[in-house]
Amino acid sequence: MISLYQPRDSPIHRLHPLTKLTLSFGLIAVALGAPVDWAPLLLYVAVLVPLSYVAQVPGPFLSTSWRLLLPFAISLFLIQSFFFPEGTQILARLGPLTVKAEGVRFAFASTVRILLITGALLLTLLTTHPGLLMTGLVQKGFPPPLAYVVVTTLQIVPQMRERARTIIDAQRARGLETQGSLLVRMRALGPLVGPLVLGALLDVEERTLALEARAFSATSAKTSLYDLRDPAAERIARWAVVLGIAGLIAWRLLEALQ
Amino acid sequence: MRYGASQSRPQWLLVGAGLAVVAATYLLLVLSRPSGLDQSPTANTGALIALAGYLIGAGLIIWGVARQFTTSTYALIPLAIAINIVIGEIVTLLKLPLYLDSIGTVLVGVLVGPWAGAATGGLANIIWGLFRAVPLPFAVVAIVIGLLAGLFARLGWFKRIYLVPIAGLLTGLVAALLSAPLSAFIFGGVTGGGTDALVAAFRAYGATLLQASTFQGLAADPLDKLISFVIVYFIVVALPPRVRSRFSQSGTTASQLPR
Repeated sequence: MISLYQPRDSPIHRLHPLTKLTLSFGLIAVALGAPVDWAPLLLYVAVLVPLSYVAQVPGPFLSTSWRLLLPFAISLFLIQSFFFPEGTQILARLGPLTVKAEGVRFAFASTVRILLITGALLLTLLTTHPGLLMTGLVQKGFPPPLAYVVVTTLQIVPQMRERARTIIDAQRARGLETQGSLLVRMRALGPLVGPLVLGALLDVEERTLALEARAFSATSAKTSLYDLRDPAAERIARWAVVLGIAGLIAWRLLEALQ
Repeated sequence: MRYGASQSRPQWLLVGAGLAVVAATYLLLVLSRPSGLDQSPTANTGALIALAGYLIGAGLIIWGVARQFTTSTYALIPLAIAINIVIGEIVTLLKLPLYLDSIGTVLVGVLVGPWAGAATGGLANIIWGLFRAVPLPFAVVAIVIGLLAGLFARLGWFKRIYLVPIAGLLTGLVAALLSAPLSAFIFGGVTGGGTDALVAAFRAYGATLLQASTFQGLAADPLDKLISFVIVYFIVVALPPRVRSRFSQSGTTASQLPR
């Protein structure tokens, strides 16, 4: 199974998956609802980074977080610093281009916003096994067939990659060009995509039979192998956060409408 | 081969509410233009509204259609999402200037129906989100791509080869318009990819950020979806009849190439 999950024994790993997810969205809402544009950076440094140490995943957290942010940050600072027609304050001139203060500030605000949104979700994903995440959601009323779809996809992707590699090797052995002009590479798409999709569609029947043999479409309640603890304190905290998010959005929405 | 499902229709109340939330969010952000894009201290309000509206809308739609499919559709959807991911990787390997990361979604929409396509798109982005967080807010866009692919097939557009590219073009158009506010308000108008140069060009001509993201989407999405739809058409035509007849909406597609 492919996932970001880092197995550790930490208080954060032990929280109910839904609690972590709710807290992540709560943090995002606070960061975006705050009236200053550096609030996301403050919350990232003061809340998420210390929590990643508590969860014993600071390394994967910081490296994944920056790997996701970097392409956006580069694009944002390059484009918004130089091309910000609404800006008036000129910081520097480079030939025909001007760096505008408003543009740099906009790039900063957007960068820290992306940093916080991705970081908040990352911390949950790094500390929660995807199977357990789905079990937790199903316990709270999430449709079980969808949980099946999510977990199965995570298991199928590596198999499908392996199959794609086999197809690419086989077609190359038969003389398929995968390098060269754009037209040549476009033409290679058919012989690679066709067998991959056809093979997948042929699998459907077998998988359907396997599912039916295991009472997939039975409507009665099913027993889970995992027994997730969900203390009352966490339930109360979740509801408080959900109400807080709703209130914050309503407040900001009314303000924007005025 | 079809087995019973616990429900055979979408829960229209949930689906309708989801579509209404998305439409209201789009109208609010694009037409009434709150103070989100200027340099006011509340610069994040637009991001908050875009994120909340699109995520809640996507959640309601997915929830509304979740329980209605047959077992074979639930068996198909993970394969389709894996197809999205792996073909996206093949396209990167071939260094093509396209995404082609919704072929599985379009395929399910065409073979099974609009709501199955919608569920595939939405779940695909949620699963992508488990690795990169960034695709999560765009789940609604993927839902609409699967939905439209299914509707065009139901209207018989996949019976005529010349209608398929038009269907793809129209779907790409809607996808571009729908994703522009997310891109502009949350991600500062950039995607971190090569097409960001277009944003710079449009900004240099004085376009607002929302306009520039819309133009960028319009330059990339319609062509990408056109090619995806044509690829799906050829895949469906090439399917052996024994495989094709298993899917409930397969009667609405052409069964052989025009001569």
